Amino acid sequence: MHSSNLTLSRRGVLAGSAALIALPHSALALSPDQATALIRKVVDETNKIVNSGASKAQALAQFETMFSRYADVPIIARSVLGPPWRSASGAQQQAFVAAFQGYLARKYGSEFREYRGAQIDITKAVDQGNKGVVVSTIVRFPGEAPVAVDWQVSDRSGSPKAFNLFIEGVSMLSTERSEISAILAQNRNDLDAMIAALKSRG
Amino acid sequence: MRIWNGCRESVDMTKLRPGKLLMPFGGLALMLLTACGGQTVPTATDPDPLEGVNRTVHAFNKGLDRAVLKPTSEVYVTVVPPPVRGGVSNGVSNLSEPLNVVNYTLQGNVEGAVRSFMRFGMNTVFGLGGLLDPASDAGLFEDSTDFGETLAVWGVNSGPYVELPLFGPSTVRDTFGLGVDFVADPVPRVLSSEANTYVIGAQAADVLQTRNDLARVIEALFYESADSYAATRIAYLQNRARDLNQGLALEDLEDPYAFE
Repeated sequence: MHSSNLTLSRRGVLAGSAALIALPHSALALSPDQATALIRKVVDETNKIVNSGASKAQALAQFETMFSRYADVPIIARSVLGPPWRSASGAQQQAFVAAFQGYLARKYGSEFREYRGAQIDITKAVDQGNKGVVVSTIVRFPGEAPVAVDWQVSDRSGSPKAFNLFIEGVSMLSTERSEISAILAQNRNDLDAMIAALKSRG
Repeated sequence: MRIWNGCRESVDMTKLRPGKLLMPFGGLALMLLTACGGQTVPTATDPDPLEGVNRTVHAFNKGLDRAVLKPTSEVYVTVVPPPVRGGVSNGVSNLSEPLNVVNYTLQGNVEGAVRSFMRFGMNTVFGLGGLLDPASDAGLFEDSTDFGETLAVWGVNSGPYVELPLFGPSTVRDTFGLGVDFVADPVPRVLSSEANTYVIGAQAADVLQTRNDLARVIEALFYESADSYAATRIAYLQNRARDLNQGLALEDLEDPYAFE
């Protein structure tokens, strides 16, 4: 996008090399194939959960396990909470991540349950630099227009993890940032009260 | 085709030949036209200058949905048998295809224009005048467009987000496009006034069907969101950006690892 990003100064190159030596396991960008492999697992597990005939409660519990395994929930939670994250205590941050993970699983698990009987295909994976790899999937229902679901994947947590998803272009991070800030406002900006309220939502 | 990512080399209005239908609006369209490089749709984080009035309209729309649209649509889908409802909605959709052909053509989108043209032809000839949708069975799904999208392709900036009474989420540009589509639609010109009355009735019925089809989405946005106005705005803007971009809009990609 901005070509200036590509013009590396000598100092930049040196600093970059130093970072690579200091952190041998990080920042060696995730390949589109690795990101696709992760989303393939997510798609396969989603298919298994929604077509298994499990009850809603069982399915949502399975989705929570899936999210904790394949999504970078702490990063998503931190980004969605925004500035209040920094003023929160360590215990509050942990409590928020835990409550938020359950909320995400209930909300997006319910959405995925609607994909029962659909065919989900991975169509492409594009490296978007520091925005991670974007893996595109198409959810096809018999006789209906398909639904586009896109995933942002990164390995900056140490292993490949999804950190955002878009349903027909609508970003989970944007949507949930707006929701969490509204729930916080409803609870007079009391973080503990917001965390308690989150447990009954989604 | 990424016509939307970045700057089109030049937007030569004379080559696009909007035709005399659009001439009265030419001046306004040019006024809305902004310098190249301007973004096409506000992102979720952009300012929302009309928020005050939009929130008032949103409360009105929500009240209208709760009191009228939702209950009426529930009655409609319960009382009217599925084949009749399907026929009505297919008919309305079929009659929107000529305007889609016009807009896709103005956008220079040959694939879109051909698809809409084929859908109209197939469904009119092999689908009992449009009551059936054999085109979708053949994989040619409806993909509607509008003059707001045409203006976007021409490089017109969207202006601020607007929530319209009855019509719902829009932008200044897309509201203007809605008006142009209304007066430029070729279908009412060729139908008798009696036929047009039926079409308007069918369109009203189709709104009820659409409310029912989108029940889950509307329920989530309007009644389950902590801030239904904000949730509706984000959903509309990002979905619209995706449509205009014919793929995920790069502006909506985030890097949450860069947390300050």
